[in-house]
Amino acid sequence: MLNNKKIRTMTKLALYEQNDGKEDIKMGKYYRTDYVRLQGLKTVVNVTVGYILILIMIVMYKAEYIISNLVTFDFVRIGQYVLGLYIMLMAVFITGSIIGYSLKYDKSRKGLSKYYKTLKKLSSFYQEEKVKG
Amino acid sequence: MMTFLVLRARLRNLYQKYEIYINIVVKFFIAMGVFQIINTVIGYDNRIKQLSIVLVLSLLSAFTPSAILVLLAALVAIGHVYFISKILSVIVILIILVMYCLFLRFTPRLGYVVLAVPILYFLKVPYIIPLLLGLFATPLAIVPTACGIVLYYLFGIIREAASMQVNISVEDTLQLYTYVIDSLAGNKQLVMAVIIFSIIILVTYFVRRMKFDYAREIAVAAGALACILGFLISDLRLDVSEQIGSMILGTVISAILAVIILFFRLTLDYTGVEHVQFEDEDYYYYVKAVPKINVTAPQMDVKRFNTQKNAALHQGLTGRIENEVLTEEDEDYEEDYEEYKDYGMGNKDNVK
Repeated sequence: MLNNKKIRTMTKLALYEQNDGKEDIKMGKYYRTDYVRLQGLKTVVNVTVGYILILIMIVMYKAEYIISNLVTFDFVRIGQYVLGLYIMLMAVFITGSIIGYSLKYDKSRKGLSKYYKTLKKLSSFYQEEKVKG
Repeated sequence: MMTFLVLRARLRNLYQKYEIYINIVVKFFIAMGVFQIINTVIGYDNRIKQLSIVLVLSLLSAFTPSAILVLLAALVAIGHVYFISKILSVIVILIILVMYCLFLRFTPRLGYVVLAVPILYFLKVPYIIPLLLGLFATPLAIVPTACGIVLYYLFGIIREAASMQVNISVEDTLQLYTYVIDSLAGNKQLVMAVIIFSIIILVTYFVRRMKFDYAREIAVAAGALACILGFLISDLRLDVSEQIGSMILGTVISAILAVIILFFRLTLDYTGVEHVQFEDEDYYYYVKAVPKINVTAPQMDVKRFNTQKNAALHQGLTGRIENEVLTEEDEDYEEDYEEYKDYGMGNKDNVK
């Protein structure tokens, strides 16, 4: 026998899983700190890659100057400068990503709590069936 | 107004019935337009320009998510640039990669904006993007918009560079590179465009969040005004006054389009039919979920002879529609939270 109420509940669950819930459920597998840390780590990798690419572009841009003046460079100063900029950039991006991803995580909890509530309702259908059967 | 409401209801019914097919067809034509514009603007490689390739690419993007279209468009553009000069294509790839790593990966859902801005720039109505983003997105949308503007100017510079490109010795390659970077970094129009687009997004966003009647329509007007004023000031300061006419016309058209989209958007977005599949022990279910619509325009055939009341009725009705759609049901999550936490813990154990 088809149980209409049950189908309705399952449809609701499936809709959520298919749309907004896709990401939420993935995030639900992490603790908050773990999630934020993982995303922070991804940000670090990406910012590093981006920074290196920018450096490559600058070096290419100044190639002529660099080749002709290579001997006279104060490499320690340049290194400090590059590193300092890197740290500053990183600080900005890490702070941003921690704030942003924490907010995102909190938001996903709201949808998830409703989802679990509906899941509970579904499991109550099964219990009813058991009692009847 | 009444005829529009009826039209909207009709369109909605039509859309609900044939949603799958309409989506595919619309996506196909959008993709084809995008590829055609890329081909006319920077179409250096005749192999990519062939109609059969354009058709295949459009068909592919019609059936895949919109991110694929963005990727394909980027590849086609890079392919064209690669054909005339390898160093130029390297620059494009480097800049796109930097944008992705530093900015775009934080707003994955707005990736299409990066494609839409340059495309609409070539159609002379880029101003619709900040207006719509201000209406429907958060100020975070400034990031992809700015990237899109940079890309548009980058391709403009590449067109110039391609026309003056001389044959390739290492020195010339370097010169070409410095030329592109110089003109990109020293481009005041680019900086002004980024600033003005950001202002439009902010103005539209804040006005539409105010609580008075027609806040969204007024937000569009405010955004358009900010756009015209901003570009007037920047054009006059940078002495490029020949663009002013097309800019004002483009802004007005953008604003009108934005209002039209605004009018139909509530309907189209919230009444999509959903298809889901799931199973239990006994059955497989293939469910088509059709959202209920509480107020349909054709049912409002209430006859009143007092015009004032009539107007009030209409206002009340549209107000109701928006309220119903906009106010999400706010349940108290507090008590579930504890229970759900337990569930979550249980899940975690299973996963681990």
